[in-house]
Amino acid sequence: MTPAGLDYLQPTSISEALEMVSLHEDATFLAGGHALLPDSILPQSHRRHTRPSTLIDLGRIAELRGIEVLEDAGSPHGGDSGGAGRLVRIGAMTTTAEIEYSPDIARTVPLLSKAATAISDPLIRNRATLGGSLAEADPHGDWPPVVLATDATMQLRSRDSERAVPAGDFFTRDGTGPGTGPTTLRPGELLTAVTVPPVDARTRSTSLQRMHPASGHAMLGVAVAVTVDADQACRDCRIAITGAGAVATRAVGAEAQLVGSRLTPAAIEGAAHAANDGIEFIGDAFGSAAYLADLVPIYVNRALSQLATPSTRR
Amino acid sequence: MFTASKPTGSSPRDGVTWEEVARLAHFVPDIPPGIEPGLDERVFYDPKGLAFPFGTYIAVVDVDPATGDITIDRFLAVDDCGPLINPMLARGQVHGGIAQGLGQALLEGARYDDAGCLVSGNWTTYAFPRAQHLPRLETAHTVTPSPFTPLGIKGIGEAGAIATPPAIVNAVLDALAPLGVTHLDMPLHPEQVLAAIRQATTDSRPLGGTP
Repeated sequence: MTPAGLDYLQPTSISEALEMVSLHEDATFLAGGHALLPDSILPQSHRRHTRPSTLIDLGRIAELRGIEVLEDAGSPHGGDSGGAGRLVRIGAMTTTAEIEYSPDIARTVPLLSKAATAISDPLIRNRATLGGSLAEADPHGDWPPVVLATDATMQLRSRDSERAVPAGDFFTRDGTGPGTGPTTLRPGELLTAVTVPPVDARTRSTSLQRMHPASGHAMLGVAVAVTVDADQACRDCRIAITGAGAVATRAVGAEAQLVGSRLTPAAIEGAAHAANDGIEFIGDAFGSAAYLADLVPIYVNRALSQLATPSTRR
Repeated sequence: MFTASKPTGSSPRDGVTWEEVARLAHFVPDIPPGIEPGLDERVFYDPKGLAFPFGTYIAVVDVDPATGDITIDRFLAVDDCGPLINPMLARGQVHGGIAQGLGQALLEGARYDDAGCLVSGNWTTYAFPRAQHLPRLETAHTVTPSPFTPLGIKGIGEAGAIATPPAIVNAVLDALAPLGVTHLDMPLHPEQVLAAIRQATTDSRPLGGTP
């Protein structure tokens, strides 16, 4: 099987990569390669309408890798982290395995650790990157609901500009990003890092993934984070879903149901009942749209029920 | 008798080496007229009867009534293939066969669209069993030598693939029997299991009390 002709570039800095992408039409950034390489090389692939003529491999850019806990982050983060000043910065080329085994991540944003552990298998986790998964925005991607639930912000750079986009605005149905799912990424723009506010003692979070029996992607995934106030009522909550529609989304109807209530079975049931609001379900042979619509409330219910039990706090 | 390739006797009359036999069979300078070069022998083994391996497979499953998901709690396979020449290989055959049988029971199936095009033509659309789909397997053997084979041995290769589908499907049907489900087509995808549960519980009165 012969790959289509490709130019292959290996920049060693972000600015060099951004310069390259501005000079080559149809250039695409290459991260872990788990989506892009099969799609670019295999002749029968039909997931992408066009094949890139140039691959810009980000693997040699050290500044795109690594996990940092910024004790006093001065730069604007967006989101509603409460402005405590601390921020976790994860370089876009950081692998899923690095997140899985990072003690800093486990301490500051445990939902990221938990979600990483459940992604595919160790071989994939050793190669696949956080930034690659998010820019790809696969409708069945594992990371998109997790960054939505953790209130993360995408740090985007192009040759001439820089912007910080909250996860909720990054995955947009009308987006025209280069991945299989719609994102707000513009031509020539690179996702350089993801910043996440650390959780506090009143935040509980969990995620549930249902692995697709054939593809290994998330057939369905739910990530939830709930912050309670002093009398255990839900002050703030984020419920995010992947696999159900064209792109990962927050279940805002379910969130609204829960805010102000304690995590009682009745409140959880009410939230789960509203979880399908606004989702246009897309199914396949292993789960029709109707079946996914059956599953989402069940998964939301089960995830929230885990949080109602004090032993799984955080 | 030969040891390695050397004849055991001291005189040439006691034997020749295998190498010599092979050479003479193909490169005889003065081969007699009417004789073809080469060395062939063919023996047919005619067993006195067929050897029948047998065994018992048991699946213990949970079915989630909300999602149709099937969880295999225990899977036991006891086979009788006669004396085990290589126990590890025999176990490997059983494990592989069970994986194949589980694929047939729960996952695998070629699918076509309305135009007759195969829509399960790659590994992201055709579900074959991976390690994550398999439960821990508990295997054991009884040893009943066959009277019809020289070593008493019997086959083992297909046992797992043959016995596993009915073990799993029957376990699921047993779990759903109180709801009135009497039939499921393989592969048992959770969506179809859930549909069968709903069909049974709306069509007929549950036989074993409330679900």
